[in-house]
Amino acid sequence: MILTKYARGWLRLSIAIFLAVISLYCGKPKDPHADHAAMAAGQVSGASLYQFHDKFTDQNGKELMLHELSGKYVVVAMFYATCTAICPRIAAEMLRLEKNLSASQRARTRFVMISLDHERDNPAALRKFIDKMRLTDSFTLLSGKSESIREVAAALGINYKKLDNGEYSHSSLFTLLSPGGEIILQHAGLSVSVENFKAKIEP
Amino acid sequence: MVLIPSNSFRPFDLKKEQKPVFIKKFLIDTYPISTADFAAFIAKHPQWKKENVPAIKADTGYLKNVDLSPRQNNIVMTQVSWYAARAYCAAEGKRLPTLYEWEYVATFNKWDARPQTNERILSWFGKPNAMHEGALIGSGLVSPQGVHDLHGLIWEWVDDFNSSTVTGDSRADTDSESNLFCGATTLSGSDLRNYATYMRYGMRSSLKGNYTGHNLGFRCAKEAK
Repeated sequence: MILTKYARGWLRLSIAIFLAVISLYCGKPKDPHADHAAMAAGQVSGASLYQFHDKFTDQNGKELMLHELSGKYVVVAMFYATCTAICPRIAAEMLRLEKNLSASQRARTRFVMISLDHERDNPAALRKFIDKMRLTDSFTLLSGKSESIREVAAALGINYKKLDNGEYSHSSLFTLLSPGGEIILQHAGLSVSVENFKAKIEP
Repeated sequence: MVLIPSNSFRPFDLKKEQKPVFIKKFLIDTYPISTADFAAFIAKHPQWKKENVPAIKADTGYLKNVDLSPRQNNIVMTQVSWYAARAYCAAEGKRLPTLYEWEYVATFNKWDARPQTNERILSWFGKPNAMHEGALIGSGLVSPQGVHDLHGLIWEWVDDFNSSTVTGDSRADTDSESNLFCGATTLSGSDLRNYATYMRYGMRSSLKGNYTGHNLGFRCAKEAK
């Protein structure tokens, strides 16, 4: 097939960007068990989300640093409380996941939703979302400063942007953290595969 | 630094019905950061030495093959993560430019779309990665506002790099699309003929905060009084 000059240009550029992107991916896959030893030694591994020491505020107004979540598996997603489009479904997926874990897995797992909206999501707004979505006691909802939010989002790989109308456009991404805070599984989009998550959480 | 006066701006990822973005006047570094600049930063802030930086803030490529005792001060700094770039700018009392600030300067009055300029930008994309190593500051293009090397030298970090694939468009469209509201599917530019801009948006959407690359560097910006 003969490509037009236009199409050839596109193809060349597509290959160039592909190579440029590939050259950036140099991280190795993480061993989920590697952090047990580090945990026992009382250390947080370099790949842990608990390397971020900014303070967040939970739904009860209590200040909290992320490493205070360590010791349990954590399923984390980002959202904002006044969102009516996708966030209720993110919460519903997390509830469904919780319900489908075994009793011992449930006891070992926390569900954390971090708000993108540092202006509106105070503890009262977070509590309202919890009531509306009937979230269980296994849920911690956090708000923080915009800088802290962007740093955590960049670590998780969540893209977001505030729109003119005050809404946020953002990725739907579910991340499973090991008890040491390392990313061991991510699911983009909705319809979380419960089995995939169950397989990664100690039974 | 170069003073960039306030203006309204229509970024590439804006839909026709959306209002232009207002860019408040700001200062931007004339050149990207050099290896000598970064070496001085590390000397003062040893927490950003390679051995002290946790993997979640800089991957294994951090400072890889970067000569931090350079004999010249005009080698562009690369192999640096977004977290490190941010910390550098903060230490200077500056910040990374926002995505729209950077794009505004890089596409000011469509200077990047002039045939010869555009040709040079596109040919830079086609160069093998190896050819970017040790690139010299000042060897890229100069914008009409006097900002150097925005094109033709490196890719640059921006503060909100992780806002670039998402726009309001995809959610507004249909319900089924909002289910797929994640990552790369949602880019919808107003001018798809602008390959170079499209490439930059695509590039940014592939990044995470700890990524490094031997053609990925940065410059700082600052509020203008």
